[in-house]
Amino acid sequence: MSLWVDKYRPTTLAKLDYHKDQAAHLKKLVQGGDFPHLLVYGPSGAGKKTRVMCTLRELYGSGVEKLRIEHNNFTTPSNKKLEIVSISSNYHIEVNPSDVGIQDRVVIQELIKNVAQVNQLDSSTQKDFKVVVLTEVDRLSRDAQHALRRTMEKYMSTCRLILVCNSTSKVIPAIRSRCLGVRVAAPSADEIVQMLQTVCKKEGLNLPSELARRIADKSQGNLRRALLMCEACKVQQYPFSADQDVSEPDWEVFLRDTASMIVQEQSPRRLLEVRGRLYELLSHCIPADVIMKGLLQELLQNCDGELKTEVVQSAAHFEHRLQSGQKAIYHIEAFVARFMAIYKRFLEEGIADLF
Amino acid sequence: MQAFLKGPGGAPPAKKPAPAPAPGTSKKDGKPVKKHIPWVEKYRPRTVDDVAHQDEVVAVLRKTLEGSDLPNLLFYGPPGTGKTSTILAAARALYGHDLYKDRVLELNASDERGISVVREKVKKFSQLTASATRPDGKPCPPYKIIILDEADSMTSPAQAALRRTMEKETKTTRFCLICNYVTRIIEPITSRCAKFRFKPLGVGVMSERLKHICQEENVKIEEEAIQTLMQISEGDMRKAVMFLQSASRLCGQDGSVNSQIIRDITGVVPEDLLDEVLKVCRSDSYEKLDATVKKVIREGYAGSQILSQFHDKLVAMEEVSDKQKSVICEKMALVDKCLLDGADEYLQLMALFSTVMHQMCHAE
Amino acid sequence: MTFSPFPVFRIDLQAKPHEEIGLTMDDSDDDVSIVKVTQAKSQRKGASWVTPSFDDFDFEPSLPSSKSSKGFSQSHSQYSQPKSQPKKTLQTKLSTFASRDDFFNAPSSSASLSRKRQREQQQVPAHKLTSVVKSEAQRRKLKTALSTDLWSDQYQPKKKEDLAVHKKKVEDIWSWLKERTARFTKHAAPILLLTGPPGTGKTATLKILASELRLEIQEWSNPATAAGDSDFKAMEQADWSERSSVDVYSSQSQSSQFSNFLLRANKYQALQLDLTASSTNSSQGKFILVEDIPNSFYRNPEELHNILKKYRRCGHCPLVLVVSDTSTNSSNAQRLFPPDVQVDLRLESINVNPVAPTMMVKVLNKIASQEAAQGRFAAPSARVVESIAMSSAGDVRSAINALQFACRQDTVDLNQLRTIQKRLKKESSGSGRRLKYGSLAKQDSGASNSTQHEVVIGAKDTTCFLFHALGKILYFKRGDPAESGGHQKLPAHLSRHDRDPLLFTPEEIVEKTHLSGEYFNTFLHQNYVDFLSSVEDVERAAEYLSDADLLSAQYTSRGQLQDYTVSVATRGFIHSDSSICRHTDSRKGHGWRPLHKSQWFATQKQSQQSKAAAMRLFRGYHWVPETLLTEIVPYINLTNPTLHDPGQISFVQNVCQFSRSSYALRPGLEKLDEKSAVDDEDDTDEIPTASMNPAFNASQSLARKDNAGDNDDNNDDLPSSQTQIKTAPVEEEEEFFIEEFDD
Repeated sequence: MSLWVDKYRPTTLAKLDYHKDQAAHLKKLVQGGDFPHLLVYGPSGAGKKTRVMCTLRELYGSGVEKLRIEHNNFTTPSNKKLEIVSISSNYHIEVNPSDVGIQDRVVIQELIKNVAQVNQLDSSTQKDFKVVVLTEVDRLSRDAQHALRRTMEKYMSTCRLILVCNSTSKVIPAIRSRCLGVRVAAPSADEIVQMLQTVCKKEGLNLPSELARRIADKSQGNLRRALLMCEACKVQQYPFSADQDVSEPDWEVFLRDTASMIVQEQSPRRLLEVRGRLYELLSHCIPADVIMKGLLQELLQNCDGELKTEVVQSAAHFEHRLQSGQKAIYHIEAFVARFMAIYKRFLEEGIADLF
Repeated sequence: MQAFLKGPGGAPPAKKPAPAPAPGTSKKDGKPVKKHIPWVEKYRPRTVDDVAHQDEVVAVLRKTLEGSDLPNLLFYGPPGTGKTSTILAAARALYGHDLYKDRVLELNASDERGISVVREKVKKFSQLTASATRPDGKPCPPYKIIILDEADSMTSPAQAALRRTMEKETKTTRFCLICNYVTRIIEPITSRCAKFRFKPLGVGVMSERLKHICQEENVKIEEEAIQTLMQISEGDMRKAVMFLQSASRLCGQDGSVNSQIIRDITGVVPEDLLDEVLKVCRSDSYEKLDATVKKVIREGYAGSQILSQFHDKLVAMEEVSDKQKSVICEKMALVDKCLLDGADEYLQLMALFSTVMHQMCHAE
Repeated sequence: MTFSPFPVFRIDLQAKPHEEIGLTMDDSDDDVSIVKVTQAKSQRKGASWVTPSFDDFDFEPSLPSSKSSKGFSQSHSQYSQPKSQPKKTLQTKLSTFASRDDFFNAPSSSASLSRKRQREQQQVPAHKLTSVVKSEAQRRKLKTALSTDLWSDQYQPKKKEDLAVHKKKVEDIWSWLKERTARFTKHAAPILLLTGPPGTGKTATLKILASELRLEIQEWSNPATAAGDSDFKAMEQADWSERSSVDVYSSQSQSSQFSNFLLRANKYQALQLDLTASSTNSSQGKFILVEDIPNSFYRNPEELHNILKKYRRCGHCPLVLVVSDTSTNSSNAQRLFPPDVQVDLRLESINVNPVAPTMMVKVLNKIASQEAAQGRFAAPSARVVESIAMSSAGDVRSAINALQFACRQDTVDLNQLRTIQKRLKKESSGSGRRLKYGSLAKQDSGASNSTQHEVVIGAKDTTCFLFHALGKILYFKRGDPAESGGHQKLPAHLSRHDRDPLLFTPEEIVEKTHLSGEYFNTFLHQNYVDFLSSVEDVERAAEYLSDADLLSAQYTSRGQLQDYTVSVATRGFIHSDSSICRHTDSRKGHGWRPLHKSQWFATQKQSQQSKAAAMRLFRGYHWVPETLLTEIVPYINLTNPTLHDPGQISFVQNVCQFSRSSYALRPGLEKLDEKSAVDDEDDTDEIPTASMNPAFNASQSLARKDNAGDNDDNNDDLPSSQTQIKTAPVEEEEEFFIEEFDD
């Protein structure tokens, strides 16, 4: 399966299209020989993974691209067996420790220890360390992050870490201070447009600039999504027309319909129907916070100034509850109920003002 | 090895002859290959005297080195002020290199430190006897040292299990706990220890030190960059040295470290972005605020960083009344907690800035 | 001396001819204790070497200081004296040992007494003691006043008509036994599973029917695991039901002992130990009775299934398994024998219901009148009997025990409770003659000083079904504040929060369901919206529920905060309902509504399975799960690249289907009915292993592959994924009318 996202992913630092000065820095870093631990962060779809792979390629050459999937088994101190999947090459290993849930500390300690203790046999690359790439670092538990920090210190000589996350707020300062932070900002709309044009040219397609701009706006700084949208547009209708519909994933349409249902009627019965739809979204693995943010976006379009602040405040309140609580449905439903109450009050006041 | 300066205004001491081979190099194929040791490790103070900036601790430890007894120690204070370095230096001085492994047990936050470990490892170690003479006949302290680093992340049951051992084995074992917040250590333990507060390092000390390191490592740095560095690190020596090292890497051998690079590395939000946000807050338009906050988020800056910088800015603002400031600060505290819990940054920042907007425009 | 629990009865032929035969205990033999039946008069003279008679069994040396101690001190002095047993009492004694169990049970306790007495005997020569002659009536009274026999043992049913079990059930069991033991099948032994709440007469029924059909019962009882002191060893050795099976000293696991027992019981006859039993000569077959299922099988039912499968194949003797259910949620029978296993083993099952109240009252009255006729106690009033019957929840044994306890003369200090019972019963007498088992909470409606309503001795711990508990909270009622003193009105600025007091305590109700607080909340959450009328109410209630979830979220503090979770959720809901603030408010227009099970767990499970499947299918691309599922997969659906893995294709299609009709009724809600067995929630925190199969029917979705092109078209029919999202088809349930909740 080759989506455009994968097909046209740049493989070397030189081929990166935006944030070029950052690419230059990374190159210098690699050449300097004193490669530190990296903490790559930035919004989703900005190109963090791409840059990590490019850096690895710069470090080790093209051997890094021969990937294989491995199953690693660990035993926790309480004798529970864990299995985690990693993607690795001869020079690096990439793993997502949050896959195992609350036992991520064990994974980190054991895995890095294993990697670090095996010395590099192939000396032709002139690098005496291996790289461990950890993704979703901001979802690591506190214990795991402390373990990580110690491990980073201990095995500095044989192993370098590249940590990837969306935001550094949840990464403990100790780790932040031990790594070099690389902030990958989202590309601007112009840059996205440029990217789209380049890709379409390579595909041999003609992309009207209006459509490109619309796609870029809709993607909200997420390059991956922009490329996917573009590809979907092509499937829908080619040759492109400037005003064609930019197709959206099904779940987004579903979410939007749900929001319009909420705005339409505010009653307990409607809430129950909405609940059914929320359950459906949840069972399709759409994360709860994505649902909440999506709902918020749609609902805000139906409110005006004063109302918006109130709605946003309650959204922030319940979304925070969502993260700390266990059952997401309670909180999403409470948010919907709150919105209904606010909106109903607003409508009633509006009608009262008329008379 | 270099050392900390002895105090503000003191001249840097003469360079001590580096032991051969130089640390950071190793022989390989006949050519010295530079092994890259982090500068934090390289320039860590090696003797107690080098940690001169923390007066009381040094005095006690010096006395100990001269032969008097060591109490149980509790070092606390902000990170990067030399706590771990101090006790390690003292231990090394007390025991010398050969006895060190037998007499010192180090447990860190990344090691297992649950109750079972406290019960077994710590207890066993503390029950070993310690003689008063070294193998070569020289006197050495008749006790062992257990260093518990980051003690505030030990669970309270583990700490409670610890205190009994502390009491019982006081003849043969001394404990040294290191933590950031002394409130996280349970009372019975704090009452058994001598508490020492490590102060954040002063500006002068730090800048001298940084300049020194730059000299050693052949890094060109601008004066302004040093100031920025110190402002950002807030008295944390480790942070400053780490940033310096990272910055020097980014510049390579030829470039010079300037303020901008420092800011890039540390993830500090540029001032103009914050100013823009404030301007939009005054404008009382939700849509504009939304767009601006989205822009900030898209840049990838950490929410907590934005928050702390904004806080500094707000406190200094004249046109905002105290009452408004208090409401905003309360909201900021709540948002900070929520961010720490993992809430979505966009929503929390929107909630905060809409409160700011409301206060600035509607409240008196 | 070694002691065997079943005494060998030996007629003492050396007694003088004019002496009547009596029963005594003799300690001259080492391994055999002789119970000698003697008469009173002859015993008194110089028969010091004869051990005390049967009479002594009635006298407990360790009786509590009873108020009716008139005869007590006398009895003490009568210890060392050989007792005389009038013929009459001998016969009554023998006649009361109707079932074999009692025959062996009673002496075992008294045999130990006899040992004690024997020790005392040695100290005091008999001829030194004076005997106190009492009138027979006195003695009898004394005996029964201090009788230790349980009425539940004494009044065991002897005939089919005595049974309190429903006639039809008895017929069923009868026919099964008759049929199965009549045909001799070489293989495929029939197995009967007899379930029902404890104390409802299952074993009694079996024993009676067996005696009527002249069948032998071979019973299994769990072996004592630790062969400890010598008494135990001896007891084990002598336990006749086990003698045919295993060597006690070998430390075999319970399960292997059990399987050995089954095989051997099947093959061999039981030893003829029971001389007086009438079934020895003409036994028309036998069946194996297992009531005491070894504990290891509860943990690991698989083993039991295997053993039973083997038995089915090679055994021929019918096997009856008796499993006592508790009325709480996880029924043992379900756990041990899930439906598919029942089909597999071809188990026939008969479920015995709790004894009906009227039947219970009949039994209790019969016993009470019998006891009263013997002149010992005044018959308790009908009210008392009724209240005992009602509080026993269908358990005959406990009801009889309660009756006995209530009637004992020396329990004077407990009389008070009996009278309270009476008082309470009087107040609720107007509630109708319809007897129903239920919680005693009904009695405290309106009773202002009903302090003792829970302390009635012998009352069964009434557990509440989830359905009832939910109903009580959702259909809550308020009480008149004037009646319960101490209700203060809130100040004016909080007047909108003023409510009349509740008639019940929500926390207690939830506690009775034996479910964890957060689990209960999920059901409350599923159903609460139906019961609120305005959006503001819903908003408030939803916020309380959100708070409640927060309280129970932290793993470390969950233990302490569980109770608060329930309080916050239930009281929050009750408070938010602004339409029922006063006790006079009624629910308008809200009839009875069906309650549903919570969808949350099913949804969680589904999403986790999908996630695991996704990660497995799309592994090579190392995407973060969130990205994969919100962006990549939906767009794969839209862009239709060539996928090589059919698993991927089917997954993508399934995950991307949403229901088209915007007003789809809530699909897949399972109705919650009275007896729904709810297990505690699955551990949804565990991440499923990567080897979990996708939850989707691959073949079904492959058939839809040709529709891949028209994904964007509006399909009116619900796509196939809907059927997987549904938890279960909506069950048809019978109209269960809860009479307590109608207004």
